[in-house]
This record gives sequence, structure tokens and C-alpha cells, in this order.
Amino acid sequence: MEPVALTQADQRQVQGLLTQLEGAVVREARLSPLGGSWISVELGRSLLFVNMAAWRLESDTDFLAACEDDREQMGRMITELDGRRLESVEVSRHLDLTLTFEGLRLLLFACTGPDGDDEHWSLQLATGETLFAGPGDSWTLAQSQ
Amino acid sequence: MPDVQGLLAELYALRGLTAQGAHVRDGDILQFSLLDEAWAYRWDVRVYSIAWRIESEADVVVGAGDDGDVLRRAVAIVDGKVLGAVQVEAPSLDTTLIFDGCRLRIFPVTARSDPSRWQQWSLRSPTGRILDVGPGPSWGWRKRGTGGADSS
Repeated sequence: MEPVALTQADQRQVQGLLTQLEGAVVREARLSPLGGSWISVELGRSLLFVNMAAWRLESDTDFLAACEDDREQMGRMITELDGRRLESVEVSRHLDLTLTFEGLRLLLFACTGPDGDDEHWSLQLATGETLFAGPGDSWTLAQSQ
Repeated sequence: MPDVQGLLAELYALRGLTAQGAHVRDGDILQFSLLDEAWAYRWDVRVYSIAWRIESEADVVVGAGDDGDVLRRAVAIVDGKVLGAVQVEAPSLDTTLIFDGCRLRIFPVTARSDPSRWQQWSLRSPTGRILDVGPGPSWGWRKRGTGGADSS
């Protein structure tokens, strides 16, 4: 399937896919052992992988971690998501994500425009499909191999 | 919690100023000036966060992660635009500069107020004082040449 630009209708469709995640509990949130600041969040039977998007973790009062902190800080703080229930998820028209868990928020920010090459993030759904966000405002829903 | 209202009060003077000279240096550091109508007073904005984005009314124009050629060409969209408002969100000091026709979003990427880390962005006043926003949820004024990424 060819990538398509994000219209308001698409935004609603992506939001619909994401809304399926609400209520799921984080089994494991981890910093990638491969280096960099990539993170993965296993949410029930779905898997969120943050590739090129910037991210940060915060509570209502504290800024806890972000993607340019040292790896020790990132690796330790991201596990704070383990066991928390996803209360809501919201996608912006530019494919930013705000995932609100019990007591914490994980925010993803897309850093490339329409000329970018890489996905901001991807979501492997329990249905076997994978949603690829980006590059730019484009998105793709593909059946997993 | 950072004093967001205090920071917004410091930034209030920027409203109505016009952006000029937008360019990217050292890879992805965005820099531009904000000038009054008579060009008598100049404030300089430098964005050090690796996560910033310029949006038009409907689309993303360019982001810090884009290729160098794209960055150099596209950031000029800010030139000539009048700054209408600044938004800052707690607790991270996530900042949005809202111009007429476009907006600059600056996403904070360091949570610790570690002085060895670069600020998210900075503002140099016409008198040479520098307002640092970040790293972490900190902000404050300093004299030029007293630390920060643009101390030289």
C-alpha cells in the first residue's frame, strides 16, 4: 500500500486504530539495546515502536525523561510505564502521539517534514496489521509478514 | 514545577516583532532574529533542541530531522512573519512561537537540569543578556559569556 497524506478523515481512521489500545496494560516498556533513543512499548498484544520521533515522559508535575537524556536515565525511567493502564491516546494531524497512562504521559513528536525519509513510529496491532506513521504526514497500514 | 507564568511574562515583549534572517547552522541549530518596526531593537532566537518543527496553517513545512538542504531552504518561511503569541507548557517548557501564517514548535528533549547539557532554546536580548529555556524544566537569565551553548 502506498503512503498517503493525512487528511482529517485519515486522522480519524488512525485515531480509531489507536483507540483500540485504550485500557491495555503495559507489559514492558524498554529502551532499545541497539543504542540511540529508540523505545518500544508492549501494550497488551500490541507493540509500539518509536523510531525517529522525539519523545518525552512526564507526569502532571515532573519532566521525567526525554530522548536526549543519557541512556541510564532513559532506560530507567521508561520502565516506569510497566504495569500502567493506557487511559487515552490522541494523534495529532501531524502524527504526534500523546499516550496518557495512569499518572504518566508519553509524548511523541514528529521531527521531519514532507521531504523526510523515515517513519516517526510504528504500531504492530493485535490484528496482525502494522501502522507506520510517517515520513511527514503520510501513513501506511500494512499486513504484517 | 517550573514558573511558566514568569517565563511567559519575560517573553511578552516579543509579541509584534518580525522574524528575519532565519537560517540553520551546525547541522540543525535554528537561528533567527526578532526585530521591531524601526529595526532599532534586535532579539536573537537560537533553537538547540534536536526536535523542532515549522508548520504552516495546514502542513509541516520542515523539521529538525530533515536533510540539510531542505532545512536551509525551508526555514526562510519564517522571515517577515510577525510573532503574535508564545505558548509554554508545564512541566517540560514545551514552547510554540505563533507567527502570522506559521508556527515554530520546540519539543524539549532533555529532562534533567544538567548544566553540561545544552538549553532547549535561548533568547538574546538587545542588551546582550541571554534567556535560557532548559535544559530540563529550568529557565533563567544570564550574562553573555557565562555558560550555555552560545556563551562564546
